[in-house]
Amino acid sequence: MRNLFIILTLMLPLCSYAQFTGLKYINLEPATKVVTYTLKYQPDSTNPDDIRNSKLLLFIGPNISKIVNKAGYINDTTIRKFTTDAQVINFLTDPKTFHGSILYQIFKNYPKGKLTYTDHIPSDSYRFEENLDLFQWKLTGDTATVSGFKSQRATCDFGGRNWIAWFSPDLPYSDGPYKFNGLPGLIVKVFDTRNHYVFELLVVNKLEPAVMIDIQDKQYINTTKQGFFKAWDSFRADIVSRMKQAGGDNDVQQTIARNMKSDNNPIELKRK
Amino acid sequence: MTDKHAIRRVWLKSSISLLIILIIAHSALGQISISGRVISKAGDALSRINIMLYSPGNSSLVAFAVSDEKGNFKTSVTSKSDSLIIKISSINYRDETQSIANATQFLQFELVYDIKELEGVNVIAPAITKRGDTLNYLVQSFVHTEDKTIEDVLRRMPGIDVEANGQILYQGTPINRFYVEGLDLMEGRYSMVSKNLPKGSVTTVEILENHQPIRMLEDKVESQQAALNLKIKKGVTTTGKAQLGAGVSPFLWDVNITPMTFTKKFQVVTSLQSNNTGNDVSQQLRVFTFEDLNRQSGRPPEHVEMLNILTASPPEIKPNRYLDNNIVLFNFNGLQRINADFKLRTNIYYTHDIQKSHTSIIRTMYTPIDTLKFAEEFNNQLTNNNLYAKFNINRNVKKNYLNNDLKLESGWNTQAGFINTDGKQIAQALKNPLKSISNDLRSYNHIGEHTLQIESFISYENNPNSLGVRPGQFAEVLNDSVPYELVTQKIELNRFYTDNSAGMVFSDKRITFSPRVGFMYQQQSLTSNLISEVNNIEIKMSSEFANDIRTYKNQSYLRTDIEYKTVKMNVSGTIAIKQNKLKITEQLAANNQKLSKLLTNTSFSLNYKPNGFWRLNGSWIYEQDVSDFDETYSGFIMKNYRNLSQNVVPISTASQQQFVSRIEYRNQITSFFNMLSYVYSTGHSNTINNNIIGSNGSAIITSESLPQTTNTHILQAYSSKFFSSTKTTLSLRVNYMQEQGKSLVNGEQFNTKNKVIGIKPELSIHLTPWMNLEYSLDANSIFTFIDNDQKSKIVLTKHNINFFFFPVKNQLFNFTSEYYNHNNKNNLFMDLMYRYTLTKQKIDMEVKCNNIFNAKTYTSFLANAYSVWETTYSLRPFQVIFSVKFSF
Repeated sequence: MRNLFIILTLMLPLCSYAQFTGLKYINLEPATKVVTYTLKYQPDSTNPDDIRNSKLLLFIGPNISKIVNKAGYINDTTIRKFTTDAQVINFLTDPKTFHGSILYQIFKNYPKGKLTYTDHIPSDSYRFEENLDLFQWKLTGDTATVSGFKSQRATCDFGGRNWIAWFSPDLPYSDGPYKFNGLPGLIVKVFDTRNHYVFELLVVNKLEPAVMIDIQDKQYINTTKQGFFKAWDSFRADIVSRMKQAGGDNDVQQTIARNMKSDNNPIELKRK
Repeated sequence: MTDKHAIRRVWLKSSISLLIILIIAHSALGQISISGRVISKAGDALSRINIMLYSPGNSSLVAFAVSDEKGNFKTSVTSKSDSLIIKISSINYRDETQSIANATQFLQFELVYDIKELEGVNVIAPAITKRGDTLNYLVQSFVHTEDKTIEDVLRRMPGIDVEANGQILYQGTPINRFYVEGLDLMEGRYSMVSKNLPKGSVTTVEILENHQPIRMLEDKVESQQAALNLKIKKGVTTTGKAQLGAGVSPFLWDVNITPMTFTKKFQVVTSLQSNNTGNDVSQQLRVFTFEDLNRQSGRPPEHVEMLNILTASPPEIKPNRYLDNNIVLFNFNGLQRINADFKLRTNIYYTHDIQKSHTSIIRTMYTPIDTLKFAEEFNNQLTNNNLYAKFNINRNVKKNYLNNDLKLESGWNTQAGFINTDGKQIAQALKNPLKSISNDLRSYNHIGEHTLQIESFISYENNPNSLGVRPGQFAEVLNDSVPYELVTQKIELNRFYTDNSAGMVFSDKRITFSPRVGFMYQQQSLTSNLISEVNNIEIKMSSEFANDIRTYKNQSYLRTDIEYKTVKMNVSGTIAIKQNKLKITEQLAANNQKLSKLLTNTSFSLNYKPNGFWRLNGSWIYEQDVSDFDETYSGFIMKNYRNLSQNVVPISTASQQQFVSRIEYRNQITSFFNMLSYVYSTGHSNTINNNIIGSNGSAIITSESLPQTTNTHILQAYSSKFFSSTKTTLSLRVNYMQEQGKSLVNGEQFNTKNKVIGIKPELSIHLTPWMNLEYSLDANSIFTFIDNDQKSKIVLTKHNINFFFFPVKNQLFNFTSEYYNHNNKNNLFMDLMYRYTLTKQKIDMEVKCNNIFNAKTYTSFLANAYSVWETTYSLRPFQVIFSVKFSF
């Protein structure tokens, strides 16, 4: 009885750190369009047989856009409907709940002329800003119909990869998946020349009624792109110790070390 | 490539300097610059407007720009045509198209507000869920001869992907349920079915789009994930997984066979496990979730063991080092749909386990004037037979959610052994069968916008125990100091408990208020008899050594949780008021008691996160309860061969307070983590145990009315830093604990104090992503003080090495070594493991060598109040086990 008392009170501070209900959001502006992209990527540069799939949603408002992982977006809307933390904990720890490997959210033109990037490294949330004009696109003069849209081809170097983009001037948004933007039309397909990351437009939908683009109001660690990647690289290199700290046994440590070894191909190879 | 780049760079450099000259010369051959500004009718700058430049008669762009936050744009054109077409396009303004001269110029555009509809854009309403879309795939049309399992066929079906780890995706999104004939037997572990179910057993694969599995959420929460349902052929399909292991020495086995059976009416997963390698597989059957732990916190403990045979408590080393077992476990999981709303899940398990142990204990007891030392050696055998059944009914409909667990448990356990002490041998034997039944109901119903939660728990337990000790003990009180043959303690304990409550949750944006009212009733009866056997004649001891007690307790309670949240802070509090009525009726003694008391529990907790790096936490708890009323008995009970107890003190209340504070600094950018915590708890009760310790170490324990206070302080600090240049993590953990109280031994009252000081430095080197080396030192000192006089000091040190590497993906090598130095007694352990995976056949092969240096014993030290135990355990010898894991 007494032992349980101590265990519960020691657990209490750990549990109450995690707030799941009553989360606060800052409304930015309503989005009237949503673009669904598919992403095929190769997490292990040495293993071309392991190809992962993901779906991304790009919400477009009059000034701001937000890109999120579709699975994460669905979980997020589900969680917002729960009223107690117990419901959320059960939902999050349910083995059937799919979390997806992409946790980042990118808000373009928020603040004006910049993008805001948020991401999660267990167990902290990070936030940093970058200028929007990251891409020096070059037109190649090629035209084609991609995903049903009349498109033009452009190329650029970004993050240590050579990218090829198809964009459609018929969709007059200067936007795209990930951080990609700056072309005079929505990107319908963008991929690196090694085919490690392939984003393709699946469908453009109009939202009726509009969906609010919001950003969670919480204690982010405000940093720079360099600070974030430093934290991420250290987390990867130190994964065995972090896992041990979190209470993972020898088997769990070995499994996660093996998984980390085959997750070696980030979208931005160069992080200057 | 490099050459080309270099040439291009040189060319670029020179062309930039050239450009300046060319622009000045305004040559038609070179680049011209088009710049300008985009504004609205009101004169506001418009950003992110697309500016496109074409050559007349050509749909391919020659240049483009996107306006910046000031509405400005600028681009350069290299085109030989005389004129250009400039198009201004955006979603919120009308397009503008103009023909301009191919010359450097500045243009201003005033755009008219206009929202345009786009071609090829569908409308979806985000809140409405598309439902009822079911896609059917006929397995026959997709199957190839080389396919083995249904997973191989799923890979060929359009829209369906199977990931390397077995996860199934539909349209790039993972499925949320994997059904077989509409039943979800395996929950998240469905790959066990998809990787093993033969291709021929499935007729159709169904995809249910936009599937929401929780019916109460159907209209509230949209789902964009699909579910997959397998329709199986008529008849029975059996598949499964197996692990077979064998080793020396002595002959060792480790078997785990898990077959699965699917029919249209019901689905079953069974498991048969048996080993003598020291793996107590029965532990895996009792898995607690966070929710279970929370719900059980108020209930009385299951399976009270009032009598026991004496043995050593398990050591802190891994069970596979010392546990000499022989276990067979059978487990049955079945799922059956009763109708569309109700599902019945059955879980039955049976375990048969024989555990042998050989241990010796040296007990040292300190009093202000005396030091008592006793040595005992134990040879015990435990034989456990347990049958456990759980029936779960779950109703999952729109209006309500209902979950009912009915549990039945029966055990036939015996424990027996010999004790060698002081040159004598004593035999002890315990029969402790158990019968219990419990029912746990939860129901959630909507009441307007709120949900009413009703919970009801009922349990009944029957424990008839009997402990026999030969030769008879406590001769001075039981047989006029004349040695005799046998003493037997018999007791029968019946317990009934029920707790019923209803609660609701009201929440505002910041405040959550959850009241709950309930009623608890507890009833128990305890009968006991002490029987001695002298010259083959059984003699029942007088009523001084017997009990016939009925205890009743009822409690009405109101409990309210309040929580207040902001982004930086979370404050929560609980107030519980409990009206207790207690009655104890003793048939054999004039000790009938009644108590009626209002008790309160209060707690308060604060979490503060001033920024991303710092976390502060403080909490305080105050609890009042009735003191050990289920331990009140006037007649003596022999709890083990050297303990005779009695408790006649009037029931009263006890209270406990605890204060916890914690401060944390975590910085992942610099990989620097720090934590400091302090816990203070204090307990107050009105009774104390009076221990009369005999010269042979036996104790007669009675209770006395004497107020006493215990105090505990725990201080912990942790710091860790990762050095990326050397790929090394250094960490240090320090803790300090102090416990103070009062003891009453042989009529003497004195203060006791225990102190523990621990330090644990750790070094972890991540040589490469596939190689990891870890070393840690764990050093602890334990001090015992009697009336502030240090009586004992124990020094324990432990060195740990763990090394693993996987040179290639399908091979793993693991080496661990531990070295213990406990008060100058040494132990060295070393284990090796090698695993090889046949990836295509999905077979794992493993060789494990445990206890390579064949260490025979392990000694541990423990201190508590005025006693110190030195326990020596016999260990399992050096052993080698080879095992294979595969599917069938």
